[in-house]
Amino acid sequence: MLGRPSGIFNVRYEQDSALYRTRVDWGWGLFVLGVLLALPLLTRQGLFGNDAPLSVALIGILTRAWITIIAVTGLNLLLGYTGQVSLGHAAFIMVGAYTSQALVDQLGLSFWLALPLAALLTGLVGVLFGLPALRVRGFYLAMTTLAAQFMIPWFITTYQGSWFEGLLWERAVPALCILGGLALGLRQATQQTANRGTLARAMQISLGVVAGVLLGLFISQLHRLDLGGATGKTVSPPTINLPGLVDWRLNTNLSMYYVALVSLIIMAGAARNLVRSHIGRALISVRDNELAAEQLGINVFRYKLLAFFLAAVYAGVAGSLQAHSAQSISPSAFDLERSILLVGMLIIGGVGFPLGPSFGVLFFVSMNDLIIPQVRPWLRDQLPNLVTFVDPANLDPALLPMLFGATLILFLIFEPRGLAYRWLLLQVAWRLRPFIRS
Amino acid sequence: MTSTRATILGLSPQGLQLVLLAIGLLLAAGWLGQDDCSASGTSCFGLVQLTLNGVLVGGVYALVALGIVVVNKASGVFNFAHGYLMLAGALIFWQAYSATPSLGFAALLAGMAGFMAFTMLGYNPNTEDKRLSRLGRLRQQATHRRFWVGVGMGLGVALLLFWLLRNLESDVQFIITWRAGILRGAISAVIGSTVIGLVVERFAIRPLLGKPLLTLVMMTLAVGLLIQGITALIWGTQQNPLPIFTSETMTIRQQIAPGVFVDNTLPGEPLPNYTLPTRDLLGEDLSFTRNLVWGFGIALLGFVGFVAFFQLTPLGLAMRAAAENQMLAQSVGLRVRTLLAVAWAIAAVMAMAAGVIQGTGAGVGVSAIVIPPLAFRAFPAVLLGGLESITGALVGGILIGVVEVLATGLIDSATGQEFAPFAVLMVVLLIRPDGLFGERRVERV
Amino acid sequence: MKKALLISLVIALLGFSSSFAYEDSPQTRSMPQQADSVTWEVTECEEDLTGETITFYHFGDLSGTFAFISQPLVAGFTDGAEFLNETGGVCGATVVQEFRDTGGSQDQAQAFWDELSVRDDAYSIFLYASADGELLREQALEQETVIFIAAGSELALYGEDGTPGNMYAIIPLYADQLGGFCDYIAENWASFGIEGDPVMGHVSWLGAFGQSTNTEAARAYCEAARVGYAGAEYYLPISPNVSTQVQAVVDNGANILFTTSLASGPAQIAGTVETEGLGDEVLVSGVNWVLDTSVIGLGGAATNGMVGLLPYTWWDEFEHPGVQVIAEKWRVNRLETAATPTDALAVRNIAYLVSFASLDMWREAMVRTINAVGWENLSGAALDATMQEFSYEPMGGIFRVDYTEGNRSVSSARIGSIQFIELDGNITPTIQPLTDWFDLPDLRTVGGADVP
Repeated sequence: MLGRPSGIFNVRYEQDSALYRTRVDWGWGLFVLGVLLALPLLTRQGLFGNDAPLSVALIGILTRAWITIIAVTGLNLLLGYTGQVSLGHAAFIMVGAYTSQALVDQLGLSFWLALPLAALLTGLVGVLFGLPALRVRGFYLAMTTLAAQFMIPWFITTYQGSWFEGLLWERAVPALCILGGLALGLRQATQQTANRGTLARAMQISLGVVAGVLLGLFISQLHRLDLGGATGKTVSPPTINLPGLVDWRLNTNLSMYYVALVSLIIMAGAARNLVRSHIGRALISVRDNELAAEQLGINVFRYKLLAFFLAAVYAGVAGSLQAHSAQSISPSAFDLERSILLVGMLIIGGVGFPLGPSFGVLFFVSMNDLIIPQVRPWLRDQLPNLVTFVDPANLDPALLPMLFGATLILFLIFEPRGLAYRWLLLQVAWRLRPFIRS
Repeated sequence: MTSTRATILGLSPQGLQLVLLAIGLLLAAGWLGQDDCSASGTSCFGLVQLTLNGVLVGGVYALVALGIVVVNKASGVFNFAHGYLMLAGALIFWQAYSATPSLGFAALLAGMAGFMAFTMLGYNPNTEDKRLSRLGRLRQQATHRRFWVGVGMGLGVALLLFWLLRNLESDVQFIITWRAGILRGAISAVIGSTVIGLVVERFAIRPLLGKPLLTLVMMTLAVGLLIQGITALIWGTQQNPLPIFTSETMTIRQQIAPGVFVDNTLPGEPLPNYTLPTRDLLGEDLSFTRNLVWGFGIALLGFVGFVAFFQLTPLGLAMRAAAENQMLAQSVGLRVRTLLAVAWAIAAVMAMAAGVIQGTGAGVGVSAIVIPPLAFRAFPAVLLGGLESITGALVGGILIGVVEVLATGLIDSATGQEFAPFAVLMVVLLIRPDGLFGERRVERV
Repeated sequence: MKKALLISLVIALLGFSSSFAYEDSPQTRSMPQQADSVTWEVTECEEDLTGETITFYHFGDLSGTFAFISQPLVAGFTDGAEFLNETGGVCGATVVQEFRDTGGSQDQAQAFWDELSVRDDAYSIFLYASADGELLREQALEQETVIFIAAGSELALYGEDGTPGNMYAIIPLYADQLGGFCDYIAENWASFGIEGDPVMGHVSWLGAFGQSTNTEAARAYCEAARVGYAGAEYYLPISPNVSTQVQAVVDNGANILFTTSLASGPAQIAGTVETEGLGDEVLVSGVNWVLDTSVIGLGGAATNGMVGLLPYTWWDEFEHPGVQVIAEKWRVNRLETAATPTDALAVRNIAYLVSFASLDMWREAMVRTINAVGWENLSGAALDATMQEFSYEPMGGIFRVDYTEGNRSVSSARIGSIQFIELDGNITPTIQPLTDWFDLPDLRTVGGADVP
């Protein structure tokens, strides 16, 4: 740590690695959480009726921001902690969205079950595109993700159920999946020399089998699915249905806000815990120096695959949430531009910082939804006086790429570590006051 | 740490084998099974025509790939802004092509060219060093003279260009009549692209020298976004016709009310394809779209030029050295910054050429919708060939083009355009992780 | 010192040149004074709302893929609103417009929907793209906000189960257009002088838009009308060359190419047909976007003779009162302020025409609703009730809508053709109707009445 409040000393290792080390930390955390939870109540649909201080639109914007933060957190695990570029993140979000739609609206699962399943499946697709890591590295590897960005939408838009008809796909492959799951579980349980009890081993085996069965079941149902081709599909909102108690359709901005927020807290918390575990340290060592990591006995290939898996899982969660909150999916929403924007947001926020994704996404959202709408009318009036040959109508297409591009350039030159790093410096300065000069 | 093997014109022996293999396969597909052509669902003629179309489309990809590879070869940066460099160059070309440039635009371009001529010939930054030896002072005087020579040359170039841009149509008609626009466009676009390349290098890339490669790659993405915004601001989003391969540009008078006309300019009848008399051999004449043939020609020219440049000229060799190891290159006295600037300028001009070729397609025009995404589609070509290989860019581009067109013609469009190029890319990367002609990196601990 | 001098010189040069960038001043041309008042049949107001303000909300993609259509669309709305206010607004109430740019992003579309649809006066919102329509269909139903949409897909208008929503499209569904075109071809094929029976091949943009025409229902309808089918090929807007696709369908026997694409799309097909030397052997045709100045501007002479659907009255029908009004507004607001005539002519296209006229349609719908329920009780639901029985010809028939009987898109169109004609010694490109207005078949995938 760069600096810590005076008078507080870590005397145990747990204290050093704790996320919240002091009561003040806890207080701040709870305060922020409370504010976030209270926000929707301040709108028209909340407690205040018609003179609410916040607009419902803002809640919608924040909901989508939380979802994007989940996606960018996945990207952060891959890019920030493992050092692998992904230019196909939007395609993985697409996999999550379409899988979730298929599971809920076509196979009749509950959203709450479909969300993790879609995430897992997306993770597997991520592993598939991470496999070239075995032979390819660096920029060539980034290109396989670019291939994903084109091949996945191709697959989804041309998908026909009839491809997966017949015994091979309905019986043989699912059976293989179950066997594979069993084999994987057995391998995990028997190969590791660590001190494990029988229970843990049994759990590993059953986990493998369950994963295999789920995947197998899904594959056996593939022939029934209709992914809507180039057009897209409508998606039903999540429901909470406890017989006799509640029967809610979460189809308002407000309810999806809470679903997205809770998902974000879980996913961001998981990411944060992951990177301070041995897995996180292994990923970082792969990022910093592959050769050295290999010398330390870290299986570089396996950890790269893990990173691809994790990044895709996060994308899958984001995709599922996006599909069910927008209640509609179409292939055009998952293009290369979005992948690039996601990377850009992460850079502005801070690559390799836990708070990086949040800062980056909120920065982008505030620029796109707050600053540009303010600046545009003024520029529209002023521009003809400043530059004679520019048509003010051109501002609409020009402003976002110009501002975002320029900001990105400035960040890359002057603060490549992003907003999160600045925030860290600010915190340290606050803690060390008055002994610090800016 | 890299070990480069013996090469023939930039080709490793293995690469050569692969090229031969690929050509052999193509020949086999086209000619060997005269009777079997029908099995593929199309006639022999169709197959040959498809393959050659693919080669030509591949020429466009190769043109794009060459520009990306040049920057990569000089600085190790993969240039994501290439698509928008294409767009900016093509838009400048269109602006000067479609009408005589206004006084301001012509003066701006001529001034830029003059300034560049001046810096190349007469400007020596070393003269600012105050602590000079006697010998140094003598040299300073020499460069002082050079300075004035440079000023003269710069002014001369500027005036000449200014006159050319403004008067090409009216005064030089004895050389070229209605094709004046092409020359005007070419002059303007070459100057403009060079300047864009230099500006990008100076203000976006140079501050990041020595930073991690990832940062540089992200910087090119950011530069792409910025150029996208600027071009949208200046030229809007409309599609601008670039009717170079048409019989004549029609000046028509659009009727906007009964009997009321305003002047308008429209592309004329597109010129028919070039044909090859193969009627005896294949039953029909092969035909080739004009702009693609020209694009292919420029790609070949660029290829030969680059191979010669990187293999034979001191500047090219220095560039390769700089890409290999910037620190080392600097310590033996190479001006890495200058080298980088030159590479970016060359890349921007190549990009402009690719953008213009794309824009001259019948009915295509110059716009943000049809040009920048082409660069992303050319990425498989770059990687297929290998990031640092000029030969690779050409061969990779052609292969990707052939794969795309054959898959489109023989299977279906979606497979051909969205799947096949990337599938080939994945397979090649798994078999040869450094691309067909890439320098194989040997890691040493 | 020298360096500084030089840099300042360059800067001075830059400043100097930018002030000169366009020296040609726009020319004003004399033009016969034309009608600038309402000469067509409209519903009279029963209330006087002078002093009130009504907002016309619209948002869509101004900067993404279809930007070159959307910019003229906004211009049309701006000028259309100006005309409405000059002719009395909505029952005397002033019309103001408010719009947003989504940049093709669904997130943005959703954000603007959230922002605008909760406003008390957001009875209706105008959208441009079908993807936005699909996104907002259910939400519009829930909030009882009427959506007018420039180009709605079947999924947006009728959902997956074929129930009409409260979304009203102002051009026909593409599959219906194809059906209508096949009817026309079946009757008039001889007039094109092309050998053989009509066989149609599709060459369209890859993606939702391009692939929405060639549905099974439309194919079957065309087969029934004895128009053969020679397969479908797709291309990306960035394809450097489409000769492969064109040749593929021609080799399959196609002598009609039908394209679902816009701007450079049809121009590229027309140009390729010329360069391949197929000009006399195939007829190039397509959906309504084919008959547009953007296509003529890019394709030039090659587009001469293209045939397509014309579901509106075109600019060249000078005697039409609606066209006269629109042309006059365009002349004053666009032609006289543009740097070059070409810039202004780029706006003189479908989007401007249709958006201008749909403002008149919106005014009519509002007036009828106000007459029915009164200004105080105006709501999205009331407007929707009007729309369900709505049948009207905006501006005297720029296009014809009939939303009764669960119909949610335009079903009346003509066949038109791009023709370069000589007038007073000038060659001028025009778009000429080849037929009178006729009803398009209903070829929806779910519940289409005319599906064979």
